Amino acid sequence: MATRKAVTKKTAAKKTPAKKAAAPPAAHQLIPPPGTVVVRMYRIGHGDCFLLAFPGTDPKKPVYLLIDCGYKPGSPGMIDKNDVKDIRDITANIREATGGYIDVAVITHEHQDHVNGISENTFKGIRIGQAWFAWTEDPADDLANGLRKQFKDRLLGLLDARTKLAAAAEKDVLNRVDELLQFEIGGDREGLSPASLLGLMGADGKADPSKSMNKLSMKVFKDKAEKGIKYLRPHEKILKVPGAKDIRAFVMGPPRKLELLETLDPKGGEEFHLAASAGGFFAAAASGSQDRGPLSPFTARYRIAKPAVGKPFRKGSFFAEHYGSEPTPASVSESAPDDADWRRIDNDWLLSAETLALAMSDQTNNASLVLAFELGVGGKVLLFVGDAQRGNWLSWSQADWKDGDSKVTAKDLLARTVLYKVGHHGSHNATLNGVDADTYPNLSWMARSSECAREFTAMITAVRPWAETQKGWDHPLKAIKDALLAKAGNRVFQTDTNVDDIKPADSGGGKEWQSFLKRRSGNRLYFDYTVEI
Amino acid sequence: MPPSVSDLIPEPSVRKLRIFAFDPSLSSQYDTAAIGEIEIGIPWERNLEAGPVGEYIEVVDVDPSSGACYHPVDLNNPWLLAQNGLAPSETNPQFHQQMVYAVAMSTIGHFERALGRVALWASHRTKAEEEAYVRRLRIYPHALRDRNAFYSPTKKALLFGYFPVSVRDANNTPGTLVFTCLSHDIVAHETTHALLDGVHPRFNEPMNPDVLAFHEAFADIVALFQHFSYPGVLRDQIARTRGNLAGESLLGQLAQQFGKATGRGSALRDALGHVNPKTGVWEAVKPDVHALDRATEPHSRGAILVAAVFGAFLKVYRSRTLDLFRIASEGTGILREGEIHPDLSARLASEAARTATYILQMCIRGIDYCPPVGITFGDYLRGIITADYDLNPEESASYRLAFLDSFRQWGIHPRKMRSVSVEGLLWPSGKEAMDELKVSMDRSALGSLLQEEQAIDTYERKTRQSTGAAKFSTWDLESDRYKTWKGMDNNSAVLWSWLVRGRGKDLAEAIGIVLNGEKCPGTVFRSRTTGQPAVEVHSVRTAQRRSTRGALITDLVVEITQRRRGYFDPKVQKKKDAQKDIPREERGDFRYRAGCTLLINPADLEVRRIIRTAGTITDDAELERQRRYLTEGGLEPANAFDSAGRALSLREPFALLHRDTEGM
Repeated sequence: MATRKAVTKKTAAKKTPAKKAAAPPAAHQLIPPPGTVVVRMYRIGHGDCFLLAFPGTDPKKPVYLLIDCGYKPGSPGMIDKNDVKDIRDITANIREATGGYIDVAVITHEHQDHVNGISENTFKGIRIGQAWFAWTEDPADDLANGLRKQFKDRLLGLLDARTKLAAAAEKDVLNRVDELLQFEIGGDREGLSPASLLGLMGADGKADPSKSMNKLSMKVFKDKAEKGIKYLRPHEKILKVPGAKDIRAFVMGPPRKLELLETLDPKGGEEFHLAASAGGFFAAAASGSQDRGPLSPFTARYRIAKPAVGKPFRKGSFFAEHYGSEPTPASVSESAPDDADWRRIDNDWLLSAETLALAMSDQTNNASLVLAFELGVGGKVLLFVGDAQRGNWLSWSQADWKDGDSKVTAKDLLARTVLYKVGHHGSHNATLNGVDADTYPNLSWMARSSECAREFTAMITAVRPWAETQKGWDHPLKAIKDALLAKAGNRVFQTDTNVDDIKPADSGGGKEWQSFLKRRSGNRLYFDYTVEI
Repeated sequence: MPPSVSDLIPEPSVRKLRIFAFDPSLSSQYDTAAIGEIEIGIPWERNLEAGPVGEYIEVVDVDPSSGACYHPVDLNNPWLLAQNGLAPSETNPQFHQQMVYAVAMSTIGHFERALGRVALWASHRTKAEEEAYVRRLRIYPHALRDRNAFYSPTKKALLFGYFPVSVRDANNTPGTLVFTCLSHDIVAHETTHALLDGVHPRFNEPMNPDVLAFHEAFADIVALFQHFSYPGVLRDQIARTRGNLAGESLLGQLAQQFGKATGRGSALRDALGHVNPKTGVWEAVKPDVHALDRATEPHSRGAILVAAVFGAFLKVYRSRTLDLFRIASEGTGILREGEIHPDLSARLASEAARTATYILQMCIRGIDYCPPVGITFGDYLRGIITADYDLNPEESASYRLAFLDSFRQWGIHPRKMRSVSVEGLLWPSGKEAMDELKVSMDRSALGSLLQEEQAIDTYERKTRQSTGAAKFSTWDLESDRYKTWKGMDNNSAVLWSWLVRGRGKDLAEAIGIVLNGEKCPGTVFRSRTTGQPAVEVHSVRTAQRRSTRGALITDLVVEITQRRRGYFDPKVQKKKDAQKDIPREERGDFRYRAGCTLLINPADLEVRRIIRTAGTITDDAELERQRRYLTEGGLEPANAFDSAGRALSLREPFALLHRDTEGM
């Protein structure tokens, strides 16, 4: 193949210092066998990158749709420690597989592990037809603009809180906040690197989230889109995948209702929404200057200035005796002293930063573009949910699609689903559990017909060895993975697991298993899964 | 006050202070303004200092996020004494200090009355693993800029947050600040967490789905019934709605409204009822025996416990007011149209308040009659019933039946229970337990605990008096709390030595304590002094009971536990169980605990009650049950990243749980 040489060269140049590299899988264009769709799941690391090859209206010209391209730095190296991959191995393969032209490039949401593989450099030589984003990216959408403003305020407030946490030596919380901020900022280094923060610096030296690495990655697709950018709203017109034969896309999320975007973990009837003001209120204090007096909710007559942490209160004063500023001496008396240091709360309020950062991360996840691809009218459905969390899921069934004179419901689409891209690395709340009778979409709504059930397959984008040991993250959650294994008869792909290690529950596997074996293949870079239309 | 005057004037027994009855949002609404503020009487503290800093509570008003402290209020200022404290105000931080002090003291008062002993806070554990006495619970009224308030077990402090209103609704104006410390129910709720922690420091270790739910539900039950126990609060509302016979839905609705007090969702009281969307009328929820099977998450489970206790309250209230309705309706039980007689509404309100007070006392007394770890709702029911039976064997049978009935309707019953009757629910007496196991212990053995000196030199927990020998000490209830604490500390050591090395050994098997290391898996923690399975004596406290002749008797409540390393991976567990000499520092993935609570009658040297955990420390099935709960989805992860198990090591376990209530 003509392009092969270039790839080999690139990989070789890249790999010189690395450990022994497995032979790169033969790179050639990905052509779906007639009457099928091929889903290529890249083993990119702890993150998402999918290439879908649909049959084209021109039988010789398949249509390529790419969904996301990102990973958590550090995770690719732990899929197989003898085979350290580089993002350029992945993008080179995308280039070969698509012949250098992606018909539709989709970014589900603005998180590091979905976009950081995208740069001018890595996507050199790849052209893009259309670029699809969620409506939250639409510069002409007031709701989206409001959300972005709020997001920016929060991010800046958290960056300030982060500085304060660092000064207060609250290492644990700082690390956790940094990890969460890193999702929002992006980049390809581990930790909140000076480079990634520098990426946020505007001309005036002030942090500017519109220059974040994530934004730069997304801009690459926007700039490359030759046939325009689409900002997608749920439950609107059913989309045709351009150039593809009989493939339609239904936009299920993100919801247009703010409370659903913010709904992280609803419990009970009454829900409190983390509105901009609450975050801003915290942020205002976090970024407060020396003169923080006016921030206090009470007038000056009641106030006594609180000395900086470690500086003493006026000798003999109430707060010197009952709160204190000195470390408590090691020789403890049998009774805790009135000014014991372990009772002070100087930094406790800063710990809210972690909650805010979590809420922010969840909200971005909830803003995921959720797409259901229908293979022929009334046919099977491939469901790609990005990292949609609970609120997003709840919204899917809150409206229907008009299809000529009839309508299509979310329940119907889920019932026809044969492939489910599992939300957010299989984490808590990104796959809803439930029963068919429940009023909200959940796993048991999927693959209802026996035909679909026999074929139902799930894809989990997680590198467990990395998540567990490096971050202490429970991805995928055992309860969710177990439910998926049961539902899919063990046909569950996971980034860190070689295809040959996917085994049926009973020794032989049945007819379904034999069919599955025929339709799946894989190597160190990706899994291919073929679905008959 | 000069001493000469105090000779002539008796010392007051009560200090009256004004508080918001619900929270500021209700007192600023026109139609609820009349009941927005109430005056409550709290025990008079002679040496109350500015802060307020008293015997139990110290309010320290630092606000780190604002870089400010607020002048402490001096409630002994004559001007404040003359007007029953500051007038309720959102803008005066000194009123905030007064309100948290008043409500917290009121909650403490309920506990002391119910338990018949002085309230103690959980001890501080120093880095050297010594225990230090904490005289006062600290309260920070303005600690956080967050929609959150919580009890911090490590700081022995309540942290209250404040935040701007973000939703526009009928009761709130966006942008204004909400102070969680101004909500009566939130303050009572958090104080209860602290009080419960003082009695049961292990009740925040999630061993089964009920443990965390219990902490929340119990705190909410106390907040709710404390609120109902103020005489004035209900009268106005009962009159307003003419106590539509028994006024059940009214009371339920009120209970929920209290919970809705801005700053905390009503999640825990959701199970009481809801507004019917069709009619717009509030309806009480009908009990559901299957509700508990469906609820897995702490708040929804807790809500069921709250609903069950509330159901018991309604049953008693109804039966106690039927006569009033008959009298007022000339025997028909059906009231005429129009407003009801003020006397009737006053009597109804006082019945409701009295019933609420008694239910509250029952619920609090129940915590002395619980296993030391891994409480379940069924255990708690047995605790409530047994404690009430022991205190009032003859009198309040109808209350006990109401509890039994209501709990049954909500599907709460103890595991492995043969029959559910009041008799059957009583925890076994020592005699019953020993007969069953064919163990016997004569009175002299118990006598040796109370009367003879025990060598406590090998007591494993470090205390300052851990050398030589010591005798069991008695203390009286009115004594200095520090002396009480020291007495408990000493008695724990004495009891330990008696049980592990003295004549108490015979009792160990009957109470489910394993002393012989050869029978134990390697994962069981060993004593650093004896090398045998470690035995922890948590507390030796007192509980009151009435003798058959009506005299009040003070029993000793003793909690004994053992601990074992649990591993999330069953294969690792098996390996470690077989391993000898696991290093002391190795902690395992989680802690499995087992043990018992004993009630001992010091007067006639009898073990009154034995309350054992479901299994002993060697019980693999119970360990497995806990493991499955922790790892297989029973305990929900707090967010999209952490494992559920992380909840086991959180710095502020209650902070997270409370935030959840608001869905933040």
